[in-house]
Amino acid sequence: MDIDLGIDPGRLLFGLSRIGYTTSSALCDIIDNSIRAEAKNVTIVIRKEKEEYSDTKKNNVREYLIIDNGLGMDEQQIQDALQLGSSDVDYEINSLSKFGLGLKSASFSQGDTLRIISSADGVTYFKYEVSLPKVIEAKRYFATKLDLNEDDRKTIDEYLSDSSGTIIAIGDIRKNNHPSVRNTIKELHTKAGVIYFYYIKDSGVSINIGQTAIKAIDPLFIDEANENGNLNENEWDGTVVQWIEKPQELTLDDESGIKAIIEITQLPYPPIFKIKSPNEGKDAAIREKYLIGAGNYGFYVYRNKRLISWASQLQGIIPYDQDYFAFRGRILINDTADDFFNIDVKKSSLTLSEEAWNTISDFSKEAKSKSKAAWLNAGKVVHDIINKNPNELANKLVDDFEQIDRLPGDQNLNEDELNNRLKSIKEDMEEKVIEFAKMLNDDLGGNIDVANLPDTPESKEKAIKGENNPSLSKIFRVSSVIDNLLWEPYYDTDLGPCVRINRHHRFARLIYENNSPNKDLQIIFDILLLQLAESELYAYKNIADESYEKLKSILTEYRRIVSEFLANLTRKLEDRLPPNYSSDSNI
Amino acid sequence: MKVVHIHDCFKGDDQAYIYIWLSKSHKVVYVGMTNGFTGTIGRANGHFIRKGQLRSRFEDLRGYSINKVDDLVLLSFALPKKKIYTSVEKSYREAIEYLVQKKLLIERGKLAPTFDVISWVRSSPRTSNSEIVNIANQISQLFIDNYATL
Repeated sequence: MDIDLGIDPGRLLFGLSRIGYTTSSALCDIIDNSIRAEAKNVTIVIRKEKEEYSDTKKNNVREYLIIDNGLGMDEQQIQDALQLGSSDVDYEINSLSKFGLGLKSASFSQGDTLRIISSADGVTYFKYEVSLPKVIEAKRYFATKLDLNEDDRKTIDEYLSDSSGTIIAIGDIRKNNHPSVRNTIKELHTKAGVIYFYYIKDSGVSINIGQTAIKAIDPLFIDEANENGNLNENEWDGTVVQWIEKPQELTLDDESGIKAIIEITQLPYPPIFKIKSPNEGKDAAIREKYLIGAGNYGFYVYRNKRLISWASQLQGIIPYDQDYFAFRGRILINDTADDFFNIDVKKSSLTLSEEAWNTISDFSKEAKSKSKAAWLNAGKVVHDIINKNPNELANKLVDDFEQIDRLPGDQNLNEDELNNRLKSIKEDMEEKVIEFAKMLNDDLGGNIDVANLPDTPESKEKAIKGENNPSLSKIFRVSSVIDNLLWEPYYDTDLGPCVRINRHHRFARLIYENNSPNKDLQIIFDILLLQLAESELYAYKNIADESYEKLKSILTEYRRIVSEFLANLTRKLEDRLPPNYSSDSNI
Repeated sequence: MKVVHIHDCFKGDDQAYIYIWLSKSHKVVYVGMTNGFTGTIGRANGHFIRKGQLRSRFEDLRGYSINKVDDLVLLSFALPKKKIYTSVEKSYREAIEYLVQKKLLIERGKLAPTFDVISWVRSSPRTSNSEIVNIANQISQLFIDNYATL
């Protein structure tokens, strides 16, 4: 036997209105209905309680009007729209609607009265009102049909003259910490600009606050990324937007073939503007333009081209860490993916299914890593400008230092042997420069086959040092070293003995990345490796007991073994080495 | 009698590999890399011991034991015999491993039956290197081209 348990519509409505709408998200939920009704013009009017007060005063809104020139509604359609859980029979494919609750929950989250004035033909208007206090008092959900008053007619004349359309009025706004008009307008420009980016940009929809049109805002700024190309996290100085992942279609569910399009950009690094343009306040302008800040990094998820999740961390895929502030991802889905992106009533948050989470998480790993590395690199650029780069300092410290010509007890090579060795070293080094150029070309993603010596002094310098930088005279941190060793010696008559350090070797990353704030450690490490390289070159030129070829073989093998041991040690002891070391470590 | 053709993928001295474990019936793919002395066959042991990575990842994601799988295939892709690939320092191998996994994640929707990529993804600073990108593309393409016959 079934028992009717009844329902208290007042309490239900009250509960629905407290699910966490902000003023702007509530208004946007109502704009969704306008767009669904094919409106090309939507205007938000904010009416103040006391006109004489400035827009900065809190708790001074009397009424919000959302007016659209869409299809409008006849009397029955208005009644349907006011139902709780309005029917989804009329929801077309790609609809922005989902639960049939948005209009009521959004309206009553801000005020106690919801009025609809609508006309399907631009001639006959119907007006209905739902009052939350009256519903609570009557314990009955009902709407009251009203006649248009003078104010309604004025509004219709001003905004809808002779066209179909709808006016939603949220009245009796609650004066409980309600935001100021200025803040709501500011937030609406940003939020609606992002939320309806595609509608404003591509579909000719105009959304206005009073007389001011809201501009479309692409949170990924892909037009700029298209101009600036792909991100190289090791070179990026933070001044431009670049691509991390161009649009890519991903399968979210292998059974049903549900797909999503994902794209990721890197936005600028504001502190660099403070350094490059001091006293101009450009860093603040950049933060504002690109929405760089704690609540704005992560994934923007668009469902049917309407934003449903603003800067989501997607349940931990993007960590809460300011090193990801420049990470901007976008996921485009349609309503077939709803079961994989469980969306809440207020369309502001979502919960990913396990499979979707795994797919997006795996796909994003490289992008995350690039974004963070680029952010840190830009930080390093700023740090270097302010503090001088420790690599440059190390070079400066040893620039005019000359090591001992001959160690006590070492014998002179005869002149012929010395000349032969110098000739062999020169030939070896020339071969190496070709290899350096090839490795650098590969590292930069080039596909050109580099088979010859670089043909200009600048290209040779770049091959050897990894960059053109006159401040580097002896110690070069490069992206690749032959055989992926930690370091290798280099010598020519212009530069003298030098060292190339593999900055991507695990041990070098421990020094340069994990311990990046420790400038002294980096300088000492740079100088130590210079001395190891210089010692090797000394042995080639001065040890008479063994042939050059044999010395080369032994010392290269020695470097290989040291490099491998250090890589292994770093991998195995990573958690115990500085900066993770602490006095209570298990040692 | 079960015949397993392992060819020469037990040879890991001076030879590194990218490998892919595939079960079509259970729709899983696991991508890994090794520079171990016993090649991909030797590396397999570590995947199937009680707390092995492949065993654990499979059970975590599928909810049942990998012992129920009876169509596992191991595909081994020998990397060029260069020290950058065989060294203990593994940034080059990791970069290829990552790019292959990523490519399979992108392409899996076009393959039938489709699959989940269940390996643990590690990124590397070397994923932009053109030689690495080329090798990863070759491996992924070989896998895709031969998928129907595996």
